[in-house]
Amino acid sequence: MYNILICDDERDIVNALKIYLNDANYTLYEAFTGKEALEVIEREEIHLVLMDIMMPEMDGMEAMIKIRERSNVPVILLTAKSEDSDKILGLTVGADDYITKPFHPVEVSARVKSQLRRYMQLGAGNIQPDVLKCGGIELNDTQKRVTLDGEEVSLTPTEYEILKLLMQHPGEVFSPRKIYQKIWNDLPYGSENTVAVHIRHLREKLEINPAEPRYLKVVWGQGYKCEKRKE
Amino acid sequence: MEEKVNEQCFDENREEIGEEGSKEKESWKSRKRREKASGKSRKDQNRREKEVGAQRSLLGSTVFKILMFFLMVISAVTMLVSALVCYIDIDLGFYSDGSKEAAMREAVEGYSQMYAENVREYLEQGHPEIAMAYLESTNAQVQLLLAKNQYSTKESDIIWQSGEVGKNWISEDVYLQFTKLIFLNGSPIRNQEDYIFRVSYNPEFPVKDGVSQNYLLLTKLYEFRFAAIGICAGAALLCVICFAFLMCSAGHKNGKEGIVPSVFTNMHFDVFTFLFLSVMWVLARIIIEVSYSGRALLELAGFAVCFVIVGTLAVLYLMEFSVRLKLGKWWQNTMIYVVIRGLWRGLKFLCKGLWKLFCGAPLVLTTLIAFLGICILEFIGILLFAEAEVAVLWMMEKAVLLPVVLYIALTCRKLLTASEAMAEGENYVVDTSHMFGAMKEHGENLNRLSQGIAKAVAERMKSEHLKTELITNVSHDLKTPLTSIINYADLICEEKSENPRIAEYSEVLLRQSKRLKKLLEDLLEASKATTGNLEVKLEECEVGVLLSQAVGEYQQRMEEKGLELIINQPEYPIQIMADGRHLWRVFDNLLNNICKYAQEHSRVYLSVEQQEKNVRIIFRNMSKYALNLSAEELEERFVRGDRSRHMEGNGLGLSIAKSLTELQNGQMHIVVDGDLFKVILEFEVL
Repeated sequence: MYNILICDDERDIVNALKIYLNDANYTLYEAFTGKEALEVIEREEIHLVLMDIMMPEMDGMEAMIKIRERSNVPVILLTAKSEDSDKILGLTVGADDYITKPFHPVEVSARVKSQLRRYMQLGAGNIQPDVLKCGGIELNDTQKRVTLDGEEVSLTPTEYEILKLLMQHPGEVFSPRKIYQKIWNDLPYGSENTVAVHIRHLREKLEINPAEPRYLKVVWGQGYKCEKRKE
Repeated sequence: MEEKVNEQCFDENREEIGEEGSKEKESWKSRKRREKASGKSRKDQNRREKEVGAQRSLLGSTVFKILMFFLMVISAVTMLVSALVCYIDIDLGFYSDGSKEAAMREAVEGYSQMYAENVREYLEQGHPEIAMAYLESTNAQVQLLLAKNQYSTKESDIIWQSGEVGKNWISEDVYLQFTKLIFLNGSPIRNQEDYIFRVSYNPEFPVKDGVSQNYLLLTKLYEFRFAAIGICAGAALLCVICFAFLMCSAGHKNGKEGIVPSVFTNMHFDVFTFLFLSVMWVLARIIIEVSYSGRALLELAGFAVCFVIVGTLAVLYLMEFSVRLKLGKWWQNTMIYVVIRGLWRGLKFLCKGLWKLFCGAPLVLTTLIAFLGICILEFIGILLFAEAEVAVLWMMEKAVLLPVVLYIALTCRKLLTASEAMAEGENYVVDTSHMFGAMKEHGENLNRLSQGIAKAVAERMKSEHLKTELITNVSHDLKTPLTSIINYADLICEEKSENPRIAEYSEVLLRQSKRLKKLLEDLLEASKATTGNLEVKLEECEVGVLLSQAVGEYQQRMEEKGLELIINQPEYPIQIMADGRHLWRVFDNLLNNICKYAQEHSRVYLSVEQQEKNVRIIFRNMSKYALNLSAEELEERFVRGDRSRHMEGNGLGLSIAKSLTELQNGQMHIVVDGDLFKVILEFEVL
């Protein structure tokens, strides 16, 4: 049983989200301002917060800073502000994820699920040797297994090698040429496109929204990298 | 075939003829022969080209050059010798006196006196027989006459004679007096009276002595007097031709194109000239030393050797000069030129520096210096030309003028500082309280201008801010209700209803609300891109990498549509300055368009071309629908290729792509050629 707090000044949106997240496992709480949200968090044991930014009385950012003062609960920001600067600000202040309105209902539920699993099941976060971690992705090199938020993902050997390479050097940008040389041990003669296709597949398997990847980022015109995250 | 043989013969002849130094004549001959041999066929032309090549090779041949050089030396020596002969001939008057007698007279010069004196001595001693015997050993006979009978031809007037004299003998009269009284053939010979010793010479010169040798030489000189002129002229001509050839050939070398610089060409020409002259001077000293040694043979040998060395050096020097002339701008390769240029540059630099210093100095200081300078000049003028009263007046005038000038300069500086500050964008107010007239007006105008600018800037900032604000607010205010609409439409869709119409309607509702969402997003992006309200971080981007990334993203979609993607790009990486995310958005829009509007099962071409400083990324595809719109219209907002609007899309893609490209300092062009749809992105290569 997970307790989820939904906080938005628009009642209709709260109601819609309640319908989408209507699951036997979830107990849903609602709040319409930042203040109310804080009160609910005081009162109840909340496992996940879905929160709008632009709200009366106390906006989402402020509320989130307050939440972070006392709790480590995952917070997903849900907002119409789609500027990059807003996203970056939200994530730096302490949000775990960021969804822009108008959102796709399935995406919301997937992200909620992902955050909950990471928070509840893998919260301990003790890193074993031979295990590479990047956000919700775990790569166990001895077992040759990759899990996303605890669920196993099946990858082809090439995809696995590429993922391993990127995860071994988080934050480092690899050009398609370099990836080709490392994985195929060969000089690419116009075969860099293969790399791009493989990475697209990887993203489709590992990301909720492949167009807006959380972990496997595309640096356009330069290459690919695995996001460096401080856990 | 015959022609060929002819040519070969001619080629063999060439060397000999060339040695004679009449190369030009030969080439003229060969031309004539060629014209005779055939028309103006291509073969002929080819041969002519070969001929030119052969001539060039003659110019470049070192052996031939040396040959020509020796020929020149020989002809020069010949010329000098024959010129000497001519000179002697002129000196002896052989040209004016047209007989052989002249040569004879020259040959006997001096001898007659000697003979006459010797004979007189023998006669005075009273031994005429010894005198006769003495004359036997010469080619001369002596007759003695009284001086007054000089022109007499009578036999009886001859007092004494040593032997028979022939008719054609050449005689010379020597006037002598006897020192004492003697008797000869019985008649007394008085002293104190002039006698003529007529010395006559046998033209056959039966006895070999100095006179005969002299005569032989002189007759030779005489005989060659005209030939010498001819030889001299011919040798001079040959010498000139050889010299001209050497000058022409200087710098040409076989197997090398153009002018080949010599070993010395790197040396400055005046240094080279100095070296050459000093060597010449040393040689001249040696010649002078040798010529004082007194031994004729040694003198001659030394002179000849020196002449050859000097000549060789002179010719080499001139050849070197010719090479430099041919290379062009020979004067630039001289020490003098270098020094003068250096001095000129230094002077220019100095003047510029001084001028800059003068300009850079504060306005007041500059004015003061100029004023004082003028004062000093005027003062000098007054000292020289004017009287004391004028000087006093002048000083008074200057004393009044100085503060005025200083005041003007100070005011000007104030205005200058103010305008500079305004140009920098500062809000600056000129203090006009101590200004008068036009200056005050100018200062006030500047103040007003500055206020106007400040106002305009503030307004502009405000409107920019409002615009950004508006976009953000509208976006938020539109997105919130839209979220609800989409979500509830989705919920209705999932609701199981007995009325099938409700399902159908809700389907429409959902589809249209999703379209509205896309439209809203695009509209926002378009407005941000066109107003430049986007953060653009330009960094190095590799076009090839972006292209392969784009392919990776779109391959699946293209395959689904049966589109074959063909990529052409150079092997080397091309870097441009762009914002990777925005550039990807451009690619995304264009590739999206291709997926939407390209004819299924056709080929799509993506090519990268570098054109000097620009790189062009070209997207080409065949349109599914007839494009009845011009390229310009397609770039506009809300325009779609299909007028019927039965397709997905809102017509913003190309507009956004264009704006984003321009934000990254790139250019986007659309070309429509029938069904071929082409988008060209152009960026500057890093």
